Amino acid sequence: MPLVTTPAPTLPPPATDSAAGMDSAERIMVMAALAGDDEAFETVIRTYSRRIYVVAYAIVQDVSEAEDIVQDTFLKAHRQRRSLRDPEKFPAWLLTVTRNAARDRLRRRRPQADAETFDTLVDPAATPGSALEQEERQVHLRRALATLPEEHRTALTLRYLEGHDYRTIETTMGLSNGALRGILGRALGTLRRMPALKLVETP
Amino acid sequence: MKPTSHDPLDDLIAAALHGDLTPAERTQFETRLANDPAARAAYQEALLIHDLLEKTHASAQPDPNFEQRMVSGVRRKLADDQRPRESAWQSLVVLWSSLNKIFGKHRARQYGTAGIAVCVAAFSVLMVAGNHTKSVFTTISGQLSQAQSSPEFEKAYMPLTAPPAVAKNVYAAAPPMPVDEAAAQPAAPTPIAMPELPSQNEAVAHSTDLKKIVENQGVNYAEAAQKGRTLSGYVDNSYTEQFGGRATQFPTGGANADSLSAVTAAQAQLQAKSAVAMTSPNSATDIDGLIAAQSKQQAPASSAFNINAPTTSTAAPASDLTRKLIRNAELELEVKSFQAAMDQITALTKATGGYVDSNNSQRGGNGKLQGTVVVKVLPQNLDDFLLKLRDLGELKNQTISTEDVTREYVDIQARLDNSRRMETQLQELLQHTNGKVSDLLQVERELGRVRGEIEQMQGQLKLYDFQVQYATVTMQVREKDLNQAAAYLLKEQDNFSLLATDVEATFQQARQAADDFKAQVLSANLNHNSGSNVSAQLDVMVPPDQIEPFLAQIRSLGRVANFTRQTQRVARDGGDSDQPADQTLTEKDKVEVQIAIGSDDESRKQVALTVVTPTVDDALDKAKSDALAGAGTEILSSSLDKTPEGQSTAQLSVRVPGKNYNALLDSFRALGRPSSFSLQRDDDSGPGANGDDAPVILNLSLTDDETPLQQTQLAVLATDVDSQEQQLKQDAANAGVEIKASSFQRQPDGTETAQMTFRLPMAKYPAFVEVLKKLGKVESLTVSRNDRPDQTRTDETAPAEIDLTLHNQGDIVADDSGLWATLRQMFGEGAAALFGSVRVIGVVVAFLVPWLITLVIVAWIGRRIYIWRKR
Repeated sequence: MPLVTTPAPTLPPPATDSAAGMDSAERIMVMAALAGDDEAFETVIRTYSRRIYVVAYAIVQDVSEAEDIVQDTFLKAHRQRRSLRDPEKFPAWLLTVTRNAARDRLRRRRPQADAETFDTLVDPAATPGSALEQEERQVHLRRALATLPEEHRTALTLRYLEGHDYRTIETTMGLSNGALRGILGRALGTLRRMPALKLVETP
Repeated sequence: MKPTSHDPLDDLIAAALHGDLTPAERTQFETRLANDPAARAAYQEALLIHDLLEKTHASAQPDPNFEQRMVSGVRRKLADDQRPRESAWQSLVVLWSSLNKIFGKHRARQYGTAGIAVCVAAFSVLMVAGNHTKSVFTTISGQLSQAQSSPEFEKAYMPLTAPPAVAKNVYAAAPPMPVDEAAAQPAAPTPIAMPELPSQNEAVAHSTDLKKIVENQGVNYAEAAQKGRTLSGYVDNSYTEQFGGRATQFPTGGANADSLSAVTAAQAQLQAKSAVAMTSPNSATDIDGLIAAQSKQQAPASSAFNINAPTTSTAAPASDLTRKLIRNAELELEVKSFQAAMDQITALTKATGGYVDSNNSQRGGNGKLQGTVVVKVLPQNLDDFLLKLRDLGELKNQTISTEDVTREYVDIQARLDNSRRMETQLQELLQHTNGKVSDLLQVERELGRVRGEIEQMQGQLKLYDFQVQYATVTMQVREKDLNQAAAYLLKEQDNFSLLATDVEATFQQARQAADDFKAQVLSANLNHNSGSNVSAQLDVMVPPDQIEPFLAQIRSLGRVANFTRQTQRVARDGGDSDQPADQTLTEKDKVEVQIAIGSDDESRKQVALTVVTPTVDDALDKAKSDALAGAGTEILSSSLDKTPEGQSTAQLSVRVPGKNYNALLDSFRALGRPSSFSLQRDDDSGPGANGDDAPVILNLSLTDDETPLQQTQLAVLATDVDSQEQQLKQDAANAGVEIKASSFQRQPDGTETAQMTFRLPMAKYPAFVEVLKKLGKVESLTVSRNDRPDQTRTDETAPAEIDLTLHNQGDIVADDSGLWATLRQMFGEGAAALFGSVRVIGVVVAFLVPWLITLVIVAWIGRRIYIWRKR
C-alpha cells in the first residue's frame, strides 16, 4: 500500500440549531439510544433536555411543571423508542410530544386560572418596591403570561429565557422579522396594559 | 381575553428594548420619545415589564445540574413505571378500600371479604411476578447506581467532567459510505437486519456490545471481533468530531483490529477537530487474520496519522506477532541404572541447548532408585530430544502438549497499552487538576490501581515469554523391578485347644515347656470361673526350629482339639509380595502358638430317658436319692413343673461315673413305665479318654401324662353347631370320656366352629367315634397310631385322643351387608369424612392465617411507602 494515500477526511456537516441538520454524531447517538442502549439514551436526555424545557416552559410558564413535562417526554420516548426508527425525525418528535403535553397541562389548569380575574388580584394598598411586592408581581406576570396566545409566549420565552436574538427566533419559529416584531410588540403592549402589572410609579 | 388593538409603537418599543432596531430606526425612535410624552410613558411601562420579564425568566433558567436532574428523574420514573409489585400492592389496597365501601360497617363480612381480597391480590402478585420480564432500564439503572463509585462509572461519565483530551464516549457503528450521504437514508437498527442492502444502511452494533465497547474504551476491538461480530464486508470508518459542546468520539465500524490504532491516533487529533477516515480490509474474524492484518496495516496507518499529528499509537513490535506456543512434555522411563540415565540426560540436554531444571531421586528399601527430572530445552529441539531419550531405556508413557497462548498474550498486550495510556492521562490530570484534595486523592488512588495492573500484566507477559522460550520436559525415571521385594518373611500361626482333666496343672506344665524351648510368652491367662470351671490361654512365640518338639511336648499334656495352622508370606520393606521370590531371600519368622486350655469333662456318653409315672413328685425324690447313693455321681440340674390342670413333669440331669451308670439307669427305669430312651456316644479317642470309666450324663424326664396310643383328627360339617356341641358334652360325660379342651367361635357371616379334644381309653374308642360321625357330614378323618416296641400297656386301657372340629356352613349374605347395614355404614363413613374435612380445614386455617396477617401488614407498609414516595 503506497504511503501517500491519505484517506480523504469526511467532514461532518455544519452543526445547525434546528433538528433538520442533525450531525452524524448526534444521529449515531440517537440511533444507539433507539436501539436500546440506555447509556446513549441518557446522553440523548442530556443533549435535548434544555431545548425541550424551553418549549415546555414557553407554554406552561412554570419551572417545576416544565421539568415534569421534560421527564415525561423522555419517559414516553423511552417507552416508544423501538417504534421510533428514524433518528432524523426524533428531535422533531420530541418537540411535538412536549408541546402536546404542555398544552394538555395548560388545558387542565385553565379553569382554575380563569376563576379569578387579574383585577381581583390587585391589592391597591400594597406598597410598591418591597421584596414581597417583587415576588407578587412575578406571580402576576406569570399569570398574565399564561393568558397570552401561545405564539407570544413562545417568542417571549425564546427572547428572555434563551436570550436569542431576533434572527434566531425568526428561524426557530419560522417567522419574518416583521411578524416577530409584531408578536413581541403586541406581547409587551398587552402586558404593560394589564392592570395587575400596572404598579409602576407613573409620573 | 380580548385581543388588544395593535399599536405600531409597541413593536418599536419591543424592538428597541430587544436591541433589534437598525441605527436609522433607533434615531427615529429616540426622536419620537423626546417629542411624544405618551410614547415616553409607554416606553417607561414597557421597560418595567421588560425588567420584570428578565427577572422572572432568570429565575426560570435551568441550573447547571438541570441535565443530571432530568436523567435521574427519568430513571426514577422508569423504575417506578416498571415496578409491577408496587402496582399489585396498590391494587390490593384499592381492592380493600372498595370492598370496605361495598360492605360498609359490617365488621364480620368486612374481614371475610378482606381475606378473600388478600388471597386474590396475592394470586395476582404471583401472576405478575411470574410474567415479569426484567426490564432493561431497571437493570441499567441498577447497574448505573452500582457503578456510581466504581472506575467504570468514572470512565463512562468522563465526557461530562473531564477535559476533552481525556474524555471519550465511544459508540460503534458502521456507516458504509460518507456520513452526509448516509444521513439522507433511513437507518436500520442492526447491521444484520438487512444484509441485502449493506451499502444503504447504517449498522449499529447491539446495545450490549456497544456498552461493552464503551466500557473497554474502544481498545478491545480485537476481542469484539473474536466474539464473532459479523461486521465484515463493511468498510470501516473512523472519525472524530465535536458533539454537543463535549468531545465525543465515534469510531465507527468498530470491530476491527485497526480501530485500536485508529482510536489512539484519532484521540490525538481530537482538538484539531479534523475527521479522519481510513479504509481497511474486511474485518477478520480469526485471530490469525487479525494479527496479519495488524502487522500489514500498522505501518501505513501510523504514517497516515503522522501527517496531521505525532502518532501516539503504540505499535507492537513485529516479533510479538508470532505465535506464542508453550510446549510441554511428560514421560515415564524405565532404565537399568538411574545414575547412568541421569548422566546421559544431562549430556543430551546440554547438546540441545537446554539445561536441567530440577532433579530429585529417592532410593527404595530394595536399593532401587527412582526420581523426577525436569529439563528445559529449546522448543525447536524438543522432538529431537524426545527421540533420543527413547534410547535410554523403556519408554512407558509419554504426553506432549502444546498450549497456544497467542490470544491471551495479545489480549494482555492490548490491555497493557490501554492501561499505560490511562496512566499517562491520569498523570496529566494530576497536573491540571485544580488543587482540590479529594480530587487529587481520587486521581492518585486510580493511578495506583492502574500501575498495579500494569505491573501484573507485565509480569504475566514475562512469564509467558519465558514459558514460550523453553519447552519443559518432565521425566519420571525409575530403575527396573522397582517394586520387587528385598526379602520375604514366612509367618506361621498355630491355634488349638488343649483339653485336660486338671486345667491348672496342665497350664503350669505348658508354661514350663515354653520356657524349655526358649519360647517367648506373649500372654498367659488362667481364669477361675464360677464353680469348678477353670480355663486358661497361653500365647507364645516359638523359634522356628523348635516348633515341632514344642508341639509334641504340648500334645502329651492332654487331648488336642481344633488344630489350625496359618502360614503367610510377607514382603519386607513394603515391596510387592506377588513378585516371584528368590528362595534364598525367604526367612522363617517365629511361630506364634495360641493354646486354649480347658477341662476335659466332656462325657463320652449322653443318655436321655423318659419315664411315665402317675406320681411324678415321689418318683423324682426317689431318683435323686438313687443317684446320690452311687459314689462319684453328681446332680447337674433338677426341676419340677406342675400345670394348673394337674399335670406334672420333672427333669433331672446327673453325671455318673461310667462304672455306676448301668445300675443307676436300671433304678431309673424302675420308677415307672419308660416311654423313650436315647443314647449318644462320642467315640473321639483322645489321650484323655479312658474307656468305660468316662463319666456319663444322664437326663431323666418324668411325666404323668402318657402319650396317647392313637390320635384321631375329625372334621364334621354340622347344621346346628352350638346345640350339638352341648349335646356332645353331655354324651361324653355319660360315656366317661374326658374332655381335654373345647372352644367355640362364631363368625360375622354366621359360620360357627367348635373344637374339642377328647381323651378316652382304647376300649371306648370305636363306639365314641361312631357317635361323633353321626353328628353330620364327615369332611376329614385322620388316624395316627403309635406302636412302640416297649409298649407295656394293653390296647384296652391305652389312652386315645380325638380332636374334633365341628362347623356349619356360613350365611350366603353376611349380617352386615343388608340395606340397613349399608345405610348405617354409609352414614358412619360420611360422618367420619365430614369430621376429617373439618380437621383438614382447621389445619389449613392455622397454616394460612399468619401469612394472611403478614400479607395485610406488608400491604399496609407498602401503601405507606408508596404514599410517602408519591409525596
